[in-house]
Amino acid sequence: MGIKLDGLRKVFQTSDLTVEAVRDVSAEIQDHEFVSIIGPSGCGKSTLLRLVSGLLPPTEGTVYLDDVPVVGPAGNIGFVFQSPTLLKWRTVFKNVMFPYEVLASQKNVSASKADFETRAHELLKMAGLDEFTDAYPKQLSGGMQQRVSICRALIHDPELLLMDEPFGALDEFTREFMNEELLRIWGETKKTVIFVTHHIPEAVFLSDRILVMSRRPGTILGEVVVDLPRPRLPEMRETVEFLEQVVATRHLIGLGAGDVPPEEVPTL
Amino acid sequence: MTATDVAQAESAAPQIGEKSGRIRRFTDPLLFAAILVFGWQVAIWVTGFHPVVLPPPSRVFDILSNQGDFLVDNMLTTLWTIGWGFLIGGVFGLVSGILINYIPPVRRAIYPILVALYVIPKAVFIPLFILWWGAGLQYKLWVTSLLAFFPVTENTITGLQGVDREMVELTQSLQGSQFFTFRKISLPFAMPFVLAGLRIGLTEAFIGGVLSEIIVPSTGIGSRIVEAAAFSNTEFIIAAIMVVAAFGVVAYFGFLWLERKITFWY
Repeated sequence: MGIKLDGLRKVFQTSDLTVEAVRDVSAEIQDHEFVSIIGPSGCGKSTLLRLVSGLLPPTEGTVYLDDVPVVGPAGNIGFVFQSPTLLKWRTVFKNVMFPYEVLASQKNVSASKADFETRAHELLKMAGLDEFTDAYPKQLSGGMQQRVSICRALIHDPELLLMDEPFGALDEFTREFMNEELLRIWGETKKTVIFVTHHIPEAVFLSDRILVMSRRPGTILGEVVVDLPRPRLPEMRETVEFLEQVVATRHLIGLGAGDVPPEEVPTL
Repeated sequence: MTATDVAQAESAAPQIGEKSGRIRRFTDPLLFAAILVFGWQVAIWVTGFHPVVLPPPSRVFDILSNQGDFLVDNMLTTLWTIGWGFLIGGVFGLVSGILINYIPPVRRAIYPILVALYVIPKAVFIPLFILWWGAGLQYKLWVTSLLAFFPVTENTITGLQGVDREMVELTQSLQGSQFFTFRKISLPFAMPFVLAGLRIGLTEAFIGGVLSEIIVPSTGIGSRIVEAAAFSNTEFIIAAIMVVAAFGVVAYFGFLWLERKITFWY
């Protein structure tokens, strides 16, 4: 699925506060691309994901999915959040099947229930969780729960996967492992992915391109094209080329050693 | 599947010694109760209290065995009041909790009034209730349901508000309706809270049921206690208290067991 963001702006208005979360964001994402969005906390990355998915309407600008403007949630997107948010009273299998139930309630399913169930089993197997199909979330570790969450996001075969700092709550080792797992799963399904993170090495390891966002109000400062070969192997994290990409990204964010954050550069 | 997966799944399995713990959950309190009874007997030997003030355990146990049926019959009558009051109050509490949570005008208008109804000691209402409905079942139902409803309302609201926003967003992103969200996410999520609220409401109804019989005696075990007091029949009073306690404990733990079964994931 190709995505086009055209001059997006989002302002949140409450009775006592006006917050401009996102300003003048424009970008194009190709079909099958893995794009990371990186930026400091509070820069509007999560808001941007919600604008792309149609959960929030933009104050200005338009989101195009395959050249069609987005006017609301369309049910063809997979979403993975920072916390697994599994339904604790359901088994792993029933959690993965959840999107099917939502779509079925709106008579919006393109395949039969049996097809979905087969797909659920396949996804769980691919994620290495087939022995936990009938387990309950509280019997799984955080990383395992997040894997279930990823399966759930893929079950209705969406063309676009939105991931909002999905590995943010995990420790470094589990995070690196999950990165490799994600690439493996992505390699087998080849979706378009927009991956939000504030972890630079993660963005470099996973992506084809990294879009760098500024502080709030978030806007695109620039992009880094990650020139590393695929498939990405764990050893690549220790190469000079990898570090060069990390440095390039850091400088674009303005976090190089001794660099002054953009907003604090005095203007005359 | 990695080694870490297996290790983490196994740590959820039952540990050694859990089986003996289950038996001790029954024997420990009984043992403690036996010690208390013994202490009671000792207290009588030591202090020489007159049997009207503090009858010895043997006399109380006599009453329990000779008048056991009578006591249980009356307790069951009281239980009838408690049960119905709890049901009415519980349903009202659940419905009002849902309405207050989802409809802001209802919340603004009704919630403070519900708080007022709950906070006023029911004893204050009782003379009014008796004036309106006489000293029969109806007034007792009003007392017990008034006592039972508010914990349910409060806990229902708390439970519904605690739902993961991201789960709701996930449903919305798939074009799910608000009713779908309520049925499949909010309600199950709120269940542990609602049931805990019901358990508190049950306890309140229990207390209120017995109390309303004491304040205006008619039927039920509370009335029998008041009668016994008029005859200084202290051993009967203590025996009756034990019966009330026994039923109360069974009701409480029975409900707790039900709670754990229904909300096994919590």
